[in-house]
Amino acid sequence: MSKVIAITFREIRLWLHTFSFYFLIAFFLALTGYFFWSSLSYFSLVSFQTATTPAVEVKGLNLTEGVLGLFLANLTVLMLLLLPILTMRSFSEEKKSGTLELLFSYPISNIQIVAGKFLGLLGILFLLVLPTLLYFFLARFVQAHFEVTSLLTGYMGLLLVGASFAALGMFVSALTEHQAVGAGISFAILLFFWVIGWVADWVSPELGRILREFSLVEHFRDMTHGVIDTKDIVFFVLFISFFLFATLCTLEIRNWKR
Amino acid sequence: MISVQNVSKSFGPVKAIQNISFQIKKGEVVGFLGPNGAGKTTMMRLITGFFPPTEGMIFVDGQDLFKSTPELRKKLGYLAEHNPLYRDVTAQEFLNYVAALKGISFKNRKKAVSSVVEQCGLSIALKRVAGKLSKGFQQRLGLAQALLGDPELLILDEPTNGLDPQQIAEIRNLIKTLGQSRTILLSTHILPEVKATCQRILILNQGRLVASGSLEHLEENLRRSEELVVTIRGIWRNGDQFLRNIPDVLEVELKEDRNGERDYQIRLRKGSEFRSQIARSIMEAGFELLEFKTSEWSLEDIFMKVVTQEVKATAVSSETVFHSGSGD
Repeated sequence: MSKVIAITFREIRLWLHTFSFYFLIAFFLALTGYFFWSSLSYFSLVSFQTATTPAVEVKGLNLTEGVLGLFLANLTVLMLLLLPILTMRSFSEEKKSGTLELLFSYPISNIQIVAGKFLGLLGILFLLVLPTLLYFFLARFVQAHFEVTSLLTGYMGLLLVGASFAALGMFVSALTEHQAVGAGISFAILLFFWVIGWVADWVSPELGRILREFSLVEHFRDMTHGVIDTKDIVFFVLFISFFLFATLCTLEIRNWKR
Repeated sequence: MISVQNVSKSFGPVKAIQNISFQIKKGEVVGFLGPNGAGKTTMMRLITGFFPPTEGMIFVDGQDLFKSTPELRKKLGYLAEHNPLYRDVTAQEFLNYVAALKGISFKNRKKAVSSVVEQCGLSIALKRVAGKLSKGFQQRLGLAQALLGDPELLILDEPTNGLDPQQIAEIRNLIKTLGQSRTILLSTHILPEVKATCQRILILNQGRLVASGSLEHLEENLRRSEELVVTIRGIWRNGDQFLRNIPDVLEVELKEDRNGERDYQIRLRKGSEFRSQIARSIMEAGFELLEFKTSEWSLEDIFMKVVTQEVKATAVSSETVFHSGSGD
């Protein structure tokens, strides 16, 4: 276990020692801050209008629906862009520099390597996403009180989506020694899983149902509204496990070829 | 310590290693010698367990490398080809990381790191970023990471590659010191290196093991090579023919021709009984004897001979023929 932790910390430290990471964080926080501010302002405008015109009856106008759901959806789109950049390094760099061979000569198993690297990516993901919780704290000063439970489920969903992206990105990174190629491919695959549900309403109902089940957005949507469905959790866990297993296989493959 | 049994390794149609067997005993310092592309790195990667052999078995300390747990690799320290390092961290961070991966507990980590740092003379480079160190220090760092955890077996793939002569001498001395208490397998295409560091040499060529043994043993096997070189000067009509008629002349080479006065260099089989006879017959024929010396076969000669002609057993048999002929 201490070996896994060592790899995890090395992965996190690697990014903390990189200037571009701070640039990415700044960019991410600036953009998400803007999203938050704009959706909150818009919400206050709408709620003020409805309050002053009693004739209009609005249903379901609350902070969770109006601000949190929108904000989290925007955050995932941003992660779709950023995570391939964060994951492209994990195996590609070690492959290119030859340190992977070094790693293979140490008394550690491939499972430990994959686990350590994945946990490292999760750590980076936390560093990126968790500061955005501050916005909700700041919002209290303008009397915007969010439901804590829906906030928690929303962020749990967000981290699950992020972890899914990371697992897939890591898998692609284990396939190539060219970081840019890895980032491009993982972005393409992520985009595919993102948009696959869009056509669900047009195709035949059976196919539509399958496509919808494969879509990352569909499974995330409920969570942004504070709903936890085991079906969604299972989907994400399976998605992550599948790509972790696939990564493990790419490392093991050199033992199969004879 | 290592037992390699009928190992072959193919990469698709390329046969990198073909049916190699050898044993390395505990405490030996063994050198892999061979031209580039001979299969040295492949062989070393096989022994470190980077990939399994296509055929055959490899045992490290009696255990099959590909059936046992990764824990077996605790016995193994590896300096890979081109010395890959985590170049973005300081030497100290790098060594701490490796120590953690090698399973050295947090308590003992500091001690283990400072011990290899001392052995490799790295103390002044500890706080510097690994990628910015000089090549000599990087190589030391590579050795230090291999040494962490005090493995019984060190596998060093071209440890002096790309260093300047002084650094090479330093690394060699270091390897020598390390070899006093460990089994070391190193590869190189630089001949003096094996001579300087190794007790036993395995010569690889085109994926085959073409010769193995100690330097003395290899020389012994190529005893035919121990030759006399005689340089003579004189005037004669058919000198070449005369010289060839002297028993045991291997080779006659015309060095210089100055209006009939010729310098010849001849190579003879060495045999103490003949020396005086040869000298006499040359003098009697009216030649001047300019030089009379035994030619020592250097490692280069052995290497070239083995690699280009693959004479192994023939050397021994030709020697026996020579000795039986010398009686009359």
